[in-house]
Amino acid sequence: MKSELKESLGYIFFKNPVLVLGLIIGHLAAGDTNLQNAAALSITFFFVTVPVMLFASTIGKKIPAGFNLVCYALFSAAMLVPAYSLSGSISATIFDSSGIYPALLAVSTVPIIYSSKIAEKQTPIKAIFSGLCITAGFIITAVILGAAREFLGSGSLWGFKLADAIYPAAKLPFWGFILLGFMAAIVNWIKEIFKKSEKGEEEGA
Amino acid sequence: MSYIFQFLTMMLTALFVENIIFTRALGTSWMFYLTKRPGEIIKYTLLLTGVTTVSGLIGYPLNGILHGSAMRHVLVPVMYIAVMAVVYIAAYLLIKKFLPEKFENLGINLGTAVFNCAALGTLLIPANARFDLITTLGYGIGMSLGFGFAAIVVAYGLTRLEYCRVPKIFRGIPIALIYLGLLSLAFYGLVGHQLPT
Amino acid sequence: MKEKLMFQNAPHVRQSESVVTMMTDVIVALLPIYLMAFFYHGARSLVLGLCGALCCSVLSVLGALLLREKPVPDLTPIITGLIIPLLLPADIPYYVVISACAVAIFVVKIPFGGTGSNLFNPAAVGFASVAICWPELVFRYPATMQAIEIFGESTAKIAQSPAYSLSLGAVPDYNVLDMLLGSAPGPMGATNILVVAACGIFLIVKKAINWITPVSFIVPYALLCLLFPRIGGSPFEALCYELFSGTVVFGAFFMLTEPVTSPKRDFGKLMAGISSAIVVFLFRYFGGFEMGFASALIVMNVFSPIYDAICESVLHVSRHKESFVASIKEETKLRKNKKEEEKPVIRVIEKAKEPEELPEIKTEEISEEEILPEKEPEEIDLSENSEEKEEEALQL
Repeated sequence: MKSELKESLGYIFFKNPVLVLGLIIGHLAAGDTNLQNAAALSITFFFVTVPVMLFASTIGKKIPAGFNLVCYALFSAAMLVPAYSLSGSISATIFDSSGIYPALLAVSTVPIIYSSKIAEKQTPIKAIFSGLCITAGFIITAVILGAAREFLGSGSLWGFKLADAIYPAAKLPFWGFILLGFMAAIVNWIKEIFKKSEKGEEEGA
Repeated sequence: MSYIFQFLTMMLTALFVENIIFTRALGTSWMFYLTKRPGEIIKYTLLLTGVTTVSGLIGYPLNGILHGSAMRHVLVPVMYIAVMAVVYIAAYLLIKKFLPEKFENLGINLGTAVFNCAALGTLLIPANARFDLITTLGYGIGMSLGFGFAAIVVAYGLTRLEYCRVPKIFRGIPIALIYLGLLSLAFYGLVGHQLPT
Repeated sequence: MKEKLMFQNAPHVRQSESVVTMMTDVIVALLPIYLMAFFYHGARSLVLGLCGALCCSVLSVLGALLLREKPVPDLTPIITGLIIPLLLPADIPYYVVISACAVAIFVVKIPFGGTGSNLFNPAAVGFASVAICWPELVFRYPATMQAIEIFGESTAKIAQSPAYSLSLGAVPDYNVLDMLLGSAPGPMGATNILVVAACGIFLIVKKAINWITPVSFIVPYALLCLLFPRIGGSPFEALCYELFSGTVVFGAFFMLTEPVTSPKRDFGKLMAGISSAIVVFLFRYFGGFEMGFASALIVMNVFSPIYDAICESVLHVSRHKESFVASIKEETKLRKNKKEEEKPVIRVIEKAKEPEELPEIKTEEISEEEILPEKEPEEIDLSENSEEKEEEALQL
C-alpha cells in the first residue's frame, strides 16, 4: 500500500511524465509558449487524465477487449467540452494563441495508454490519486517552461509587461525542445544527488 | 493536371517544410517510443497514412458544417476523434473477419496507431486552415511520410549518440530532446519566419 | 638517453602534425580574414573576434567545472569563437555574439560530450540560432570602408547585400571584382573571397584540412548555379554572384571541413560535399532566409555518419574483391546448375520457398505482441529504482 502511494507520488518529480518518462513533449515544446497557454494546457490535461483514469478503473474491465481504447478516446474527447469552457475564461484569445495543442491532449499517451495499462488494474481511489499526481507533475513542468519562455521571449508574465524581450526565439518549438532537455538534465542531476546522499546515509548507518 | 500539381506541392511542403516532428512537434512521444524499435517505423507510417487519409475524407464535409459554429474550437476535435473511432472500429471488424490470423493483440496495436497526436494533429491543421479536399489529402500523406522520415533520422541519431561521451546527467531523454531541438532548428532555418499557423 | 627515447602513451605520432598544430593552423588562417575585416570596418571587428574567442573558452571551462570534470586545454572553442563573428555583420551588438557562443558551447558541445564527440558544427548552430532570433540585426549589413564605433550602437550606413538582392531575383549593384576584393557589404569575414580562398589553400597545404571537401562542395554548387540561374544576364556573371555572395566560400573552407562532424573517409567526404552542395542550393533557392548555409550544414551533419557507414561497407567489398567475386561466381554456377535441371524440381524449390516466407510473418506477429506489454515493465522498473534497469530504460 505504502509503496504504491510512493510510486504515485513519484509522478510529481522523480517519475515526472514529461521530463523523465518523456511522454507529452510535443504539446509543451510547441504549444506552451506563455503562462496562459500553460494554464489552458494544464486545465485540459486535468480533465482528460483524472476522469478518464477513474472511468478506466471502474468500467474499463467490463468493456470487451479491443474496444477499451475507443471508449477512453471518446470519453476524453467528451471531457474536452468542460475543459474548453473553463479555459475560455482565461483570456479572449486563448484558443488562437494555444492553437490545436490542448485538443491534442485528448489522444495523448496518458489518457489512452496509461488508462489501459495502469488505471485498469487499480481501485478507483488509487486511480484518481495517481491521475492527480501525474497532473501535478505535468502542471509543474508546464508552468516553469511557460513562464521561462514567456519572460525570455516577450519579457512579460501572464500578459503583464515586465521588461523588454531578451531572447525572442525562445517561443519557437526548437527552444521548447532544448529547454525541456535541460530541465530533464536538471532533474537527472537532482536524482543523482539524492541517490548519493541515500547511499551515504546507508554507509554511515 | 493542376490538381495533381497542387497535391504534390502540398505533400512536399508537409513533408519537408512543415515536418510533423521538426516544425509541428506532433506525436513526439510516440516517435521516441518507435525509435527503440526501428523495424516497426515503416509499418506504423503506413498505418498513419491510411488513418489520416480515410479520416480526412470522412471528416472533410463534417468540418464544413461545424466550422461556422461558435464552439468550433472544441467541436472540431471532438468530431475528428469520433471519426477516428469509427475508422478504428471499421478496421478492427474488417481485420477480425478477413485476416483472423493477424488478430492477436490487434486492439492495442491498432489503437496506438489510430489514437495519437500525430494523426489528430494532421487532421486538425488543415481543418482549421480550411484547405480544400485535394490539399487536405496531400497534407495528410505528406505529414505521415514526414513522420516516418523524422523517426528514421532520429533513430539513427540516437544510435550514433551511443558512441559519444555524453555526460551522465544528459544521458537518456535530455540528450534526445536536445538532438531533436537542434534538428528542429535546422528545419526552422529553411522555413524562415513565415511558419503558417 | 632522454633525447633518443621518449616515454609516452599509445598513439606514437612521428609526424609533425597533431591536433594542436592543426588547430593553431586554423587560427593562423583566420587572422588575415580578421585583418581584412579591420581594413573594411575598423577596430570593432577585432574586438568582436576577441569577444567571441574569450566568451567560448570561458564558457567551455565553466561547463566542464559545472559537470565536475577537469577542464582540458583545448583550442577548438577559440576557433568556434573566432568563426562566429566572421559570419555576422561588423556592426552586430556584442550580446548577439555572446548568445551565439553560449548556444554553441552549452547546447552543442557540452551535452554531447565536448570536443571530439559533438554531432553538429557548433559555429553553424550558434550562428543559425541568432539568425533566427534577431534576423533584423544579423542580415543588416553596414557599407564597407567606414569605421564603426567600437562600443555603443553603430551609426554606420546600411547597404543591401548581394545575397539579399539575389534572393529577390535582382542583379546586385556591385561588379564581380568588388565582390572578389570584399568591398561589397556582407558578413564581415565572408566577403573578401580572395583572402578567404588564399587562407583555405594555406590550410590545405599545411594539411590542416582535406582538399576533397571544399572542392567537392564548390564544383557541384557552381554547376547547379550555372544550370539554374536566379538572375538574368550571362550565366558566368550569375555564377560569380551566386558563389561570391553569402558565406558559401568561407563555409566551404572553414565550416564544412570541421574534422569532428565531417565523414572520415575520402569517398565519404566526396559524397558529403556533393550532397551539401545540393542541400545548400535548395535552402538558398527556397529558404526563408537569404542564406541557408548554416541550416543546410546542420542537416548535413546528421548524414555524415551514414556516409561513413556506406564507405565502410563499400571498402569491405573492394578489399575482399577476389573472395567476393569468387562467391558470386559460385552462386551463379549453382543457379545455372539448378536451371539446367528439370522443371518439376523448380516447382519443388518454389514450394520449399513458401515456408521460408511464413516464419517471417510469424516473427512479425511475435514482435507485435511484444510492443505494448514491453512498455509496462519499463515503467515499473523505474519505480523500483534499481540502477541497472533504470539506466536501460533511460538509454532510449
